[in-house]
Amino acid sequence: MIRFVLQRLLALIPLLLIVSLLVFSLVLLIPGDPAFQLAGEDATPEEVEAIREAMGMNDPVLVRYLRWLGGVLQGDLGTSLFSDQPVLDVIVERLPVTLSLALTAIIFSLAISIPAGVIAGTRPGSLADRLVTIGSSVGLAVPNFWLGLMLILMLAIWNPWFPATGYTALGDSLVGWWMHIVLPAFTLGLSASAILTRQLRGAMVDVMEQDYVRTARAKGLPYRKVVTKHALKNAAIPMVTILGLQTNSLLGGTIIVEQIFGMPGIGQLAVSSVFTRDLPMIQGVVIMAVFVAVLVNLLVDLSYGYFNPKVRPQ
Amino acid sequence: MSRARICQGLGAALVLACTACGRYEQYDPVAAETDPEATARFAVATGVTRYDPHRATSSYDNTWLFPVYDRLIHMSSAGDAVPGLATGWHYGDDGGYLELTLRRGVRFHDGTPLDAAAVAANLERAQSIPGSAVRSELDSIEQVEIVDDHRLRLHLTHPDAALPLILSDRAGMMISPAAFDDPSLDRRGVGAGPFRHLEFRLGNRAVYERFDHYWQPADAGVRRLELLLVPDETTRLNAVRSGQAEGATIGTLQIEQARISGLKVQTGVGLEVSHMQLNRARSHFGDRRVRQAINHAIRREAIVNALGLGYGQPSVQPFPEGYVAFDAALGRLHYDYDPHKARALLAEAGLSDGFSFELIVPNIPAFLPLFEAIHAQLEAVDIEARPRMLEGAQISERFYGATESDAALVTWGGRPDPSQTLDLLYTPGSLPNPGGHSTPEVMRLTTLARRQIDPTQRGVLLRAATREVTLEALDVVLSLPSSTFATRPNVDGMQVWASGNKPEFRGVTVRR
Amino acid sequence: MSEAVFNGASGSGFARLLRRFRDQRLAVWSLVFLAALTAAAALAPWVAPYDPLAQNLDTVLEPPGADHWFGTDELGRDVLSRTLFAARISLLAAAQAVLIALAIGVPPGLVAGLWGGRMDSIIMRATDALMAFPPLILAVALIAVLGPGLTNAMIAVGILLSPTFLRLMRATTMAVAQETYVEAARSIGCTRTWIIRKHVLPNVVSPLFVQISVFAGVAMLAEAGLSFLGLGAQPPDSSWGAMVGRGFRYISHAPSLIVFPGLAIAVTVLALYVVGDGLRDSLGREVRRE
Repeated sequence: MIRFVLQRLLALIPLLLIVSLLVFSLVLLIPGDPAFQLAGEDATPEEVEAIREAMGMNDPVLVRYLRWLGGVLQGDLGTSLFSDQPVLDVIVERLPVTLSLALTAIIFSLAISIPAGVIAGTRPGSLADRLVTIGSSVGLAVPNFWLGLMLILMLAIWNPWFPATGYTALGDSLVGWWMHIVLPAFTLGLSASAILTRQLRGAMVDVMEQDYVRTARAKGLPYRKVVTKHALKNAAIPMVTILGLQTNSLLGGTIIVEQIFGMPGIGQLAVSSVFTRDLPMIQGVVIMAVFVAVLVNLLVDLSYGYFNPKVRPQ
Repeated sequence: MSRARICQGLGAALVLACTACGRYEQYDPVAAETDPEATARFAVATGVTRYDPHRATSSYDNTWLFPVYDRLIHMSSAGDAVPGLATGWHYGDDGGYLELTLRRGVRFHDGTPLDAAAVAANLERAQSIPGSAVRSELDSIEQVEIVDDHRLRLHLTHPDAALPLILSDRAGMMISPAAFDDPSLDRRGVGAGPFRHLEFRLGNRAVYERFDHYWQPADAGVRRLELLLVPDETTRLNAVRSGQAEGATIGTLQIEQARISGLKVQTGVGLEVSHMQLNRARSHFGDRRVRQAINHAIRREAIVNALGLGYGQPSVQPFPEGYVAFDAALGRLHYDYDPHKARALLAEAGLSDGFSFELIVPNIPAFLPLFEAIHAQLEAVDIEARPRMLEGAQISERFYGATESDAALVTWGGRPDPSQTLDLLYTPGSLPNPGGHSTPEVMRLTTLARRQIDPTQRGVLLRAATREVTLEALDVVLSLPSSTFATRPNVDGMQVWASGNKPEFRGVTVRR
Repeated sequence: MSEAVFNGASGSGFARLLRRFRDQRLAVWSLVFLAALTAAAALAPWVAPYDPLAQNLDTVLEPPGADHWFGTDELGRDVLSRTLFAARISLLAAAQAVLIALAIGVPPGLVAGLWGGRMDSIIMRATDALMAFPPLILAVALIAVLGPGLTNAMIAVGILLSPTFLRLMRATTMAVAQETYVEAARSIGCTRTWIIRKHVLPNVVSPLFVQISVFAGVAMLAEAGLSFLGLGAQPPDSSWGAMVGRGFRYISHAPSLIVFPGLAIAVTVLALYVVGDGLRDSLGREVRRE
């Protein structure tokens, strides 16, 4: 098992190197001169040049890349051009917002997709199945920002049951956190729940036709028990993979959802950094997002290997 | 020592403070009493560049600096110079020097005495530190003479009537000399203001605590003051509605929503100017007739009514009605909406087929409708405004620095003294006047207004300069936008200052 | 090239795929809807009741009514006309992104599948790296480089979608390349180009069409999201996403500004997905049959 984990980790190294190159090259491609921005309105060309020199912007590209990579490996993501703060500090402060949003969205999507997928998958062709299938198609097609705005309109403006926007930290107030997280998490989780429902429905249909399920039913095991003990358990394995893949799009989706609901998370940071051309911040956000995504997918991989020994290389 | 009133005749029109705000008041003002230990949290739209006031580059930094740093001179909510750290000031030797008398017994937060030597050291630092953003404002000071512990004379190269109000800005903020060389000064200010600076976190939050030895204790009405940077206006309003903040700056579109939620709303017009600034050395903007044509093509009142929902003051002058530099004879709408006149003026200038120019537009959602309205109205007289969407810092880089665009749709943040605005926008040699175009008469009047230390005569000169700027159509002023603050119903003392969207928190209190 | 695809496919799976597709009523109706929408978008100048850019500052933020079925926006422009004109941008943008994704993804997919070996592993490594980025975050980072704008946003979306096309091409090509008749063709000295044209392309057309239909929906959602954030369509152009993004500020004054363009996105994307599902089901039966 340890060898398996090590192998997986080693396989990540070339991937992360390519990613780091891509992220670093953003700096080279971006138009505009951050030195001008830093120097302020009344700067002379000499002052701008001095800042360029101090920032090491006159060094060869390879030197700059290695220096940057060295910093990243030591947790130094640079300094924001906009707020003069260490990028890592800003990200770490905002990470809990995004993570609690994404996690709640995942929980919501499981809470929706498991019952829906089981009901549809155990009764293929029934009215319930057709409704679930249509519902999941609609769930995939509705743009999440529009869903979010409709929820705000109906549940925050017309009926002021939830706060329209904002965020309360879990540590400050549990109720406040819950009230603020419900609408955005539902908005973010809906498309994931649609995909998971479709996946689970398909897997359930297949599993229910398997011999061991038929045997179990023939043995006279209660239907409910057959479904939960045998069918769902086996159908759940591919769901873990899908869930891992969905983490990526969920992290991306936070950009829009945080914007609509005014949540001070990573996604909002990413968008505002584009508008302020705060490159180190954009790089930091991308690196952090890739890091989380890679970590989640690694965990999915490992759990897969753990549950299914066949995957483990000998 | 008599108080020098530089600005006068500034009526209630400047700050149209909203009086009908308490409609949904939930608290009984008598039963609930002010809580001296309260915390006030305020959400604002723009961050701070640095806590060193001499090197802070944006005028919107003031919001974050005011609590920490006291200034030599204060500006009243109507825009007048009133005593601050200096209890009085007068010119001597026909404007050859400005003598300041300092308040006695004042100390910085770190205990350093605030005396004439400290002030002299500050002014010297402001003039000499590399990267100083206030150096040009203090240009006229040739030498600072310490008369005694509490008096100093600023010897001037020429009489400078703008100086008192300049000293109510960042140039007049006093830093403790003991902190001059502290590298953390950019992040943590040490001044003599009503609040001590506790912490500044991650560019989006600052925490201040009441300074118990402030010379005017009532100014520090709460125990703790917190400023939060929240760029999105919806989020700001919601922070107040949900009680995460006691107050916030909001947009005019949100006023109704804030009132319905039971919040207090203060709204008023300050010294900010919404304008389409022209580079008069480019396109056809060197021709007065073209500039006048554009001014006639804009339907200012409709724009303010449709886009600002009626808040703000449509105007062709860069100063609000009733202000010392506002020329009442010309009025707010000297250039009325008249497309026919605009076409006639264009034909006169040999442009009967119209022309096209590049217009920089900030890529902020709020500016899009404004741009589109302007675009359509200019199109109606065959002028095409080609948009170039840029982010804030790039606008200064491209429009003012590289002077490579014809015009920009921007907001002028305003300056404490009207001659500063006239100087910077309409005379050569300043960054905010790309192209450096002016007219001899505008330059003459502006210089005279800058040097005239007699308040009455100065008022006449200021108004004459504004009149000349307006008649020459050096600018396409659209409106004087309103600044709006929403506070929770138990917050008192919040007001709209002349500086507009740079609120001070003096005298703000919170009831239990 | 595309002619060759259709010629090569006419007698085989593709034609049968279309016949199967005709039997799926919901999918056919969705296709009809998409055709009607495309026609309405193309004919917008004649169909729309008003000039989408004509302002009337005296009638702003009006609710839906007899004069303006979808109401008016903050500049008094007719929302129905704007929605019709925005359809052009939204549809074109989706098509643009899918074309870019095809252009980026298909050739290396072919190469990787047919050549194999080191070439294959290099291409797959690059694809893995690309897929490690959360999609929207990568798009935002790319737009930070390229600058906001519809074309740039669609390039970013095209890059995001390309790995899936690449993998699809690679897998199909590999499967075909291992068939005995292809190996035989190769042994008698047929060129790779000939093999691609004669054997590979006909076999990938059907799965590619399924993917294109679904990805047109994905691209439309991505465009809408980016334009909503202000990173996509720039005025005077307006896509549905951009309309929703602008209406956001007026949500409590005029909800119709966001309701109608948002509905347009949802229904169009749904139609694209249903068409994609229909194609896949037709394909599935085909596969099952053989």
